Amino acid sequence: MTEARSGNAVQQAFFGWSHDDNGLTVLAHSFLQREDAQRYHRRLEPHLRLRPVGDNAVPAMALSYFDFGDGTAAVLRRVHTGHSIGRNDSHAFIGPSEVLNVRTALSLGESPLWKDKVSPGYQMPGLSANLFTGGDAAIEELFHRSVQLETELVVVLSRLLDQPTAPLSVIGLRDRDRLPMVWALAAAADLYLRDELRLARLWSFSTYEDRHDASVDRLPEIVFLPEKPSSIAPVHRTIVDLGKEPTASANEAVAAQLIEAYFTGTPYTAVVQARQVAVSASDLVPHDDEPPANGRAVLAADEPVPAEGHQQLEEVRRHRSRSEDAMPSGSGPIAALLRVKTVAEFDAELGRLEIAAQLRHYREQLRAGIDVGVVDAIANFAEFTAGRELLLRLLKVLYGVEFEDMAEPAVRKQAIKFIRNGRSDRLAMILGGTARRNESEPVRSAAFERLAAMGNPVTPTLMHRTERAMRLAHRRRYLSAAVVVAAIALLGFAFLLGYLAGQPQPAQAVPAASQPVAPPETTSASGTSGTLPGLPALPVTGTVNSTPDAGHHLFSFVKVGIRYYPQAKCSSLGNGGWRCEWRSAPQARSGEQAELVAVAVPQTQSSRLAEQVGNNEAAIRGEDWGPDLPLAP
Amino acid sequence: MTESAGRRVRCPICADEYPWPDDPVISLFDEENDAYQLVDVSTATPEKQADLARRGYRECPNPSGDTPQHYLPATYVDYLAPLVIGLVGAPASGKTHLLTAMIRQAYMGGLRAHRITTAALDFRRHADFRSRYIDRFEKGDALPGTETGVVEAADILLLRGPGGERPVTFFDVAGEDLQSTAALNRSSRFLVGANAVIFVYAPEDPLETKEAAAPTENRSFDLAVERLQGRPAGTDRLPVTVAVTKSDRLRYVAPADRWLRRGDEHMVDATRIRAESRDVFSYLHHIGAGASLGPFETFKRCTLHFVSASGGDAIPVGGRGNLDKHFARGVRPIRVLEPLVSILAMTGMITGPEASKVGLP
Repeated sequence: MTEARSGNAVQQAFFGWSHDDNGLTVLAHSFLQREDAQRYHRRLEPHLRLRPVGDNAVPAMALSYFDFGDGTAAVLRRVHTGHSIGRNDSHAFIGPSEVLNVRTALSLGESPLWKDKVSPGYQMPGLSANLFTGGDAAIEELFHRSVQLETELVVVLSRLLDQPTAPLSVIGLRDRDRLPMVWALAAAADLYLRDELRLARLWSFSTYEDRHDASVDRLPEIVFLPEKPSSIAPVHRTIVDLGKEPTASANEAVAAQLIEAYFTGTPYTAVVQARQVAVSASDLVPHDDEPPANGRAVLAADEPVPAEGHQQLEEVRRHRSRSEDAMPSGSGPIAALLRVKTVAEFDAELGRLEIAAQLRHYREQLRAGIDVGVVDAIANFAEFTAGRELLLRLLKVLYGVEFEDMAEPAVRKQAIKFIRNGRSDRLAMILGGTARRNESEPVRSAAFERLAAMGNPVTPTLMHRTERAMRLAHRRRYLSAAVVVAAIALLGFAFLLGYLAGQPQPAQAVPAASQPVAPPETTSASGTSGTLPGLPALPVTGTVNSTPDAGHHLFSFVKVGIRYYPQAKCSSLGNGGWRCEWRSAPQARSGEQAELVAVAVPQTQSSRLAEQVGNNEAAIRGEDWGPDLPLAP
Repeated sequence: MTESAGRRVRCPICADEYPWPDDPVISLFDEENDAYQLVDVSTATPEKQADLARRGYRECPNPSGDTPQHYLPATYVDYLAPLVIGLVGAPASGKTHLLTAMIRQAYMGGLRAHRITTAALDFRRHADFRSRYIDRFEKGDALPGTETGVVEAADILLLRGPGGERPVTFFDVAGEDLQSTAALNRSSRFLVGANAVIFVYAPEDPLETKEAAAPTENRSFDLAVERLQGRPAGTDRLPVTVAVTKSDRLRYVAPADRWLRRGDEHMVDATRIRAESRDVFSYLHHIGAGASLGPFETFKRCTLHFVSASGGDAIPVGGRGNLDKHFARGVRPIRVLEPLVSILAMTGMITGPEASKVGLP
């Protein structure tokens, strides 16, 4: 248990079906002691299974967050794969609750750290707590998605305020809206509950449960169910069924104001003042006979409100005043990008940035927060470390994780062929370097010969010496740091020289880290001439045949990469025909292709899209949008 | 209500014993709010009182205070001593499929040949069981693995037959809970109050388990047998049965094929049951599943049966990685009532000279 409490590491455990143990159990973990993994298995065991409710399909993935109340917490991701239904796989991060707080849990929804499958017995690594900090882009995304949930948020929050100590079951909310709702509820109401009702909720949650009655141990505070399950045991929770008419609530006005404050960043004190007029304070004090729910604490009147509550309010304010904030260089997404150690992490961080960077002002902030040193560091990772990691992964796929296949003569022969005849010097060098593990002299010699042919001053003799030093360092750990650093620097220098000298011209198009980056070619956004590759001269008009779903209509966009620049609402020609207009071309980076598309969008979003037309501002593609319909102008 | 007042009853859920209350206040379940409402029925007419009691509940006081709030049907003690039947078996051995097929067959009149009728004693619990399991089973869908941590009974039926009217409570908990050595695990507490046990064993598919031989231990059986042996009443009078589930996999394997072809039996014949028990014993011994014969060696009254809850294996539907499975030809339960019939014969629900000999050496 102490491992999970330690401040610098987050442990992980993977649960699934084991034929050896004949049951759903821990398949792999990072704990030093298996007993610790088993202890958390016991805690999470009643929550591992994805079981259907009624005729509803089980979701492909469900995320849960548990605060165990002993300083540790867990974020659990269940997937609809594994042995059989109800015996699915799941992956948990377990660590100190100050690291794995609800904000972190919510930001992990799409994290690349999650694994869908792990080999039984695999020693999972403990993860640095640093990997779980940040997540600003994910939270930003949740905020944006919550904007469309205003009605539901008011209904749910007013019922929550009716019984502020009771856990909450929400029925009938779409799967993709569940994380945004939890974030919005916590961000909108946490500080209010702490300051006004002296009540600290944990905001633990589960995006999918098939039961919620009193017999379920350690059920999170907020759970989502696809429909009301039949229950034998009583249910001691506030139930909000969004498929039914909302129950009248005395707190509806307060809830509406809190949600409005959440969206606008208004200090919630304004809400308090409104509340003092609308509702008497005694109406909101928990009943004496209503004990605090599991882990939830009622704060004493003189107890200071924990800082994290204020942090959440600050979070809300920050969302709404982004343009006023400067991007801090030591934290935030750029810092997260600098912290990455693997291609997967780099890709994930970049993906988060891509989503957020659809907003122009966010890009401005990003640019303001970086300098040449930061760009160099990132470029160095992308060009060297990432490239090497990818090639190494490829070679492990070909020859085994320990390059054990290299022991076979036929495999060695093929590897030598790759080294001698392949175009990639870097791959050849890596392949040669791996031969060390299998004492494969011919492979190593082939790599040295290629290195020498590249005009590299490093002789095989020197390489042998370096290699011996590395082996010695491996045995003598006290020497390891110095020798490894020296060897890596030497090899890296040699590889880099070979890489730069040996690559064909097009491959060198990537600018070196120290070279100034050429400004992107941009064209006038308002020009009527062809401004982007793939675009005809604008404005143009085109037609398309389509029958949008009810509540949707067609909107024209210029699509550049993953960004959608709204143009105009299409007008109906009757018989499924639509006329669409493209009026302006957006700015774009060089090399980007643009195309004209029409997309069926919900009518509720059309006014917002219309506002963005004049600003040359990209829209975020909604999940409820229809497919892209390409048009011939 | 007054006849049963003061009678001591053992709650099958928490295993505590307490005097049945005689006050006129019962709990009615409010479906809208998922909560029990206390109702004083003393002013109602006797007919209404009886009707409310039939649909009402009484909260178990759980003197030990070790179980979440739970309720028993208000008429739970209005009949002969309740029969509590627990299913014990490894995870994925087919307990839930067997229980579902068994209760479904009983409702379809499968026990009529033995002059036994089946009804729900706990209407809500049975409706819950039907919606969660029987409906899905009848649609041909494979049933999900049972969640761990379950303390509630799966179903409470009322069987009426020559031996009288008797509530029958079924417990079906996750195999992982039955294999758990955690002393605080509440899910297997039903073993304390069970007065009959169905041990469920499934011959596994070697292609699935990647194991050629049967496991050398059956942890769920071993733990349950030891706990049952530790009860004050011991093993003398506890009737048990071993059901070899998924026997459709053995439809071409002697001696299982002979029994599977017979289908459901329509009378109790102690000699025939003994012959089937002998064949099951031989089969388990032959495949090296001696560890699963523990119940037979421990309990004095024991029968063994070949059964198949669905008549075939479920096959995956949908895309790769999808866990949903379906019985492509529908479900065709085979001999699923035989273990229950043996239990009913050994507990006096089915009467007669043959019934009294069932399970004896």
